[in-house]
Amino acid sequence: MNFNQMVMRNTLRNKHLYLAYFLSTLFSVMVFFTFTVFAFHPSLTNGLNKNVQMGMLAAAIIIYGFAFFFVLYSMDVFIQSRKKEFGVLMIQGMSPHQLRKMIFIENLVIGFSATVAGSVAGIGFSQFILWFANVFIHVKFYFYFPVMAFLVTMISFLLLFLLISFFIQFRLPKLQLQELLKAGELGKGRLKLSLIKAVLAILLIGGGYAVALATPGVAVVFVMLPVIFVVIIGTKFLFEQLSVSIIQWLKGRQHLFWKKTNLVVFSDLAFRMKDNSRSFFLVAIISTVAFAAIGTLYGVQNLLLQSYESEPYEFQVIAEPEKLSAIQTQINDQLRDNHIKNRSVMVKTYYDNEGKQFLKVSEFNQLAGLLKEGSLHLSQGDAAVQLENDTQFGNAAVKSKKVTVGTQTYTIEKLRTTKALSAYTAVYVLPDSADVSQLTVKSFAAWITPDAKRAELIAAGKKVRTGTHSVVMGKTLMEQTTIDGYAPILFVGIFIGIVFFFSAGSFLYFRLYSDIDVDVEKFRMIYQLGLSKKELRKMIYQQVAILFFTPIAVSVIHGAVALTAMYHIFQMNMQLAGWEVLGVFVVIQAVYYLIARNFYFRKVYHLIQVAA
Amino acid sequence: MLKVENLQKNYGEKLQFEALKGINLSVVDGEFVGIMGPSGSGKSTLLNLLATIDQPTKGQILLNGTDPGSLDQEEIARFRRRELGFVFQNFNLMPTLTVEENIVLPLTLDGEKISVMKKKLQILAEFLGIEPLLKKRTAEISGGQAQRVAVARAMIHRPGLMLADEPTGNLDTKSSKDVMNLFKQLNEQEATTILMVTHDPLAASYCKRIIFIKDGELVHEIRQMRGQRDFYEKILSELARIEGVDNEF
Ligand SMILES: Nc1ncnc2c1ncn2[C@@H]1O[C@H](COP(=O)(O)OP(=O)(O)O)[C@@H](O)[C@H]1O
Ligand SMILES: [Mg+2]
Repeated sequence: MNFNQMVMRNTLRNKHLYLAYFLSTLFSVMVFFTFTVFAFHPSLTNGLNKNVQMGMLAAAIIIYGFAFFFVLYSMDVFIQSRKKEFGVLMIQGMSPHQLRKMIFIENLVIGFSATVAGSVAGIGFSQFILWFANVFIHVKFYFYFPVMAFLVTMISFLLLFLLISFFIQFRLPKLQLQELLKAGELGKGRLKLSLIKAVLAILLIGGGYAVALATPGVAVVFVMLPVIFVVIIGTKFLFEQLSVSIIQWLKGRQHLFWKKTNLVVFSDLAFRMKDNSRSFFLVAIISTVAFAAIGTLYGVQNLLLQSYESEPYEFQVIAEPEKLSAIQTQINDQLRDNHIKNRSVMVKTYYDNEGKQFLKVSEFNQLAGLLKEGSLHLSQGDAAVQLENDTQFGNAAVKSKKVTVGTQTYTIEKLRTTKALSAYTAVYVLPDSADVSQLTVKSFAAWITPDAKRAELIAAGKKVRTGTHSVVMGKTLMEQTTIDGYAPILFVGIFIGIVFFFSAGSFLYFRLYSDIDVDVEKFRMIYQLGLSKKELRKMIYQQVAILFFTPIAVSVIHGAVALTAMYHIFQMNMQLAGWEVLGVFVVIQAVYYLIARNFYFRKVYHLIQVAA
Repeated sequence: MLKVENLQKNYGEKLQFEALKGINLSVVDGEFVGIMGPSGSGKSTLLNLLATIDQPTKGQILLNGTDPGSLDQEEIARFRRRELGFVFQNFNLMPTLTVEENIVLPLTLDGEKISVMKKKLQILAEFLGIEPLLKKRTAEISGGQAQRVAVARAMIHRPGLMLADEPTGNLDTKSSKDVMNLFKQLNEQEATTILMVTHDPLAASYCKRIIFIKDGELVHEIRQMRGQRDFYEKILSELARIEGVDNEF
């Protein structure tokens, strides 16, 4: 057995220890690879938009930087958990130089295999993202074979592992053999309570929340940076002190602490929380950033699309009566060619010199009928009704009591809320008998297509646009054009968000796994004292749950506050879109937890059995 | 061989605790020395200082004319894998490696040729009677077997000095005797110098000389003159005197 063989065997036979590191590395590679698949996607690169390409490049660099720190941090956790092993090797005469060499070789082996495996997994992951983008945000990319992405990923990550192997030298544990050999023993000294930090944690987070929520409208933008800063500091203190507070609190409650398995579960929990506080902090902040990013992008897109949603007609056109019939024929032909069932109405509308618009009541009722709104009746010959739209943006038109057409003055008897006509200017419905000969006449035609498929409508919309020289734009086509315009930025934002969501879980699982030896030791002791498998499972599930959901809970609360403040910028309260984003996050973490706890329990149980 | 002058060790930063208060000791080539004393008296501390696991606060250690404190990290590592052998109470075997891989580890780290490793392993395994264990993993062998493997690992590179901290501490009587017979053989046939910490009088009776430590100070020393049984009795009475209690009960 020579040195390299020794290192290889040590790596291969220590699978459970390396696996967590390997998987988190693989995960980073997969994410980066998937992103480059899109960055080099023909439909993005062939486009003329230089800004979009710059944006993708910037995002790739962010992801690369993130991967770098993720791997570096994983490596660090991994190394710190192996102190004892290093101690044993050094006492046999392994020199610091050899130790570095060993870690370098390990890193190379793991890094290389993770790069290859990550790229392969990335092909699968990119399909998932494609599907997700298509189904949820209607962004469509087709599949291509990503040669360039392979090359870029390979080169980037081999470079990354070289860099990390270099940096990790400075993170090698202080080579005090005595401590190395004792490492991994249970009981880790005492925890210090810092009352100042505990109070500061509450004050900083509470104050940050209060300012973020109380600040009205656009001013949120100005308080944003200070609030973020203050809350981040507060969160750090929160996690550092939470552990200590828990143990203090528990010690005072023997009826809780000494009950059944609680004694064991909580015995080293405070220390675990303390040890994990840096991971918790990172996870909480990263997830909150992800919430803010996704929530904002998704929210803005929803706002844009809402304005289309409120538009009732698929096609509509206003034109001089003599020009209208040609356009009408165009549209009808296209709808018929595409087999799209539709209903349409054509009415006359009238304009006076001041820009007021008028409809006759029977014609208004035709439009209302098309939209299944109730019909309108005017009580007298000199009564009129003003129209109003139901939007959250408010109505611009001036409300008046009377309106004059030619020589006749009409009394406005009520306001009618309708979708039939957009009423941003003043629009009135007059009796059929009204004399409109002095007014300018235009024709208004509208089509609705209740059961049509999206793709058919887009196809028909394109033909109509060409045929009518862009006079008529289909609603669905316009919506899709907007989506396509926003697609890259929306996609990048949501992609990075999803990555962060998944990273949060991976981070936590990885952290959990790196302490597995301590857990095996602890649970073996009590298992031998007489504990059923069921009880053991319950205890392990409890512990995993606490370690998982502590940071998740904090980040969900942070996220809810951040999104609420963000919507205040648009003069709105927290919207459904915001809750959706938070919900997806919680669901992802819950699924992660359910999988992780099973894996973890089985692993611990197996190790207990082997060593017992 | 080994010379220790005024060796002191303090633990702690603000409130210092004197674990060793100036130890003087010399050991000649081929000796088999036991270190005994009450729990917490500083036995392990002394051994750790000799083993370069820890650094002294004051004083000097000379091993074959070399002061390990004057070496840099690389030189210390080389010194450990050529000059020293260790046996611990809890074995400290690498669980990922097989028995034979564990044994050749010091040679591997020294870049020894594979053929030489194999030859040395062969001879040693026969000598220690552990041939059937060689291909096993460390989780598959008993405590007594593990300690014999650890002894093999500690001696495969023919160290000038072998250090053992409670080597029988985790073993039953039968295994303890086996391991101690190994030490004795090693000392008598191979002329290996051995320094062993123990609180087990039976194990100690295999030594040729025993030094007693109390509260970080060397208090007494006795030598084996008239056979192991007589030495055992002497150890017992000496322990009773030093610890101030009746050792039997
Ligand atoms: N790393 C350490 N930090 C602080 N005190 C220590 C440390 N190691 C040992 N001590 C103290 O030094 C004294 C001697 O310890 P040790 O040499 O281990 O005793 P023993 O004779 O039982 O092996 C003990 O009182 C112990 O508490
Ligand atoms: Mg001791």
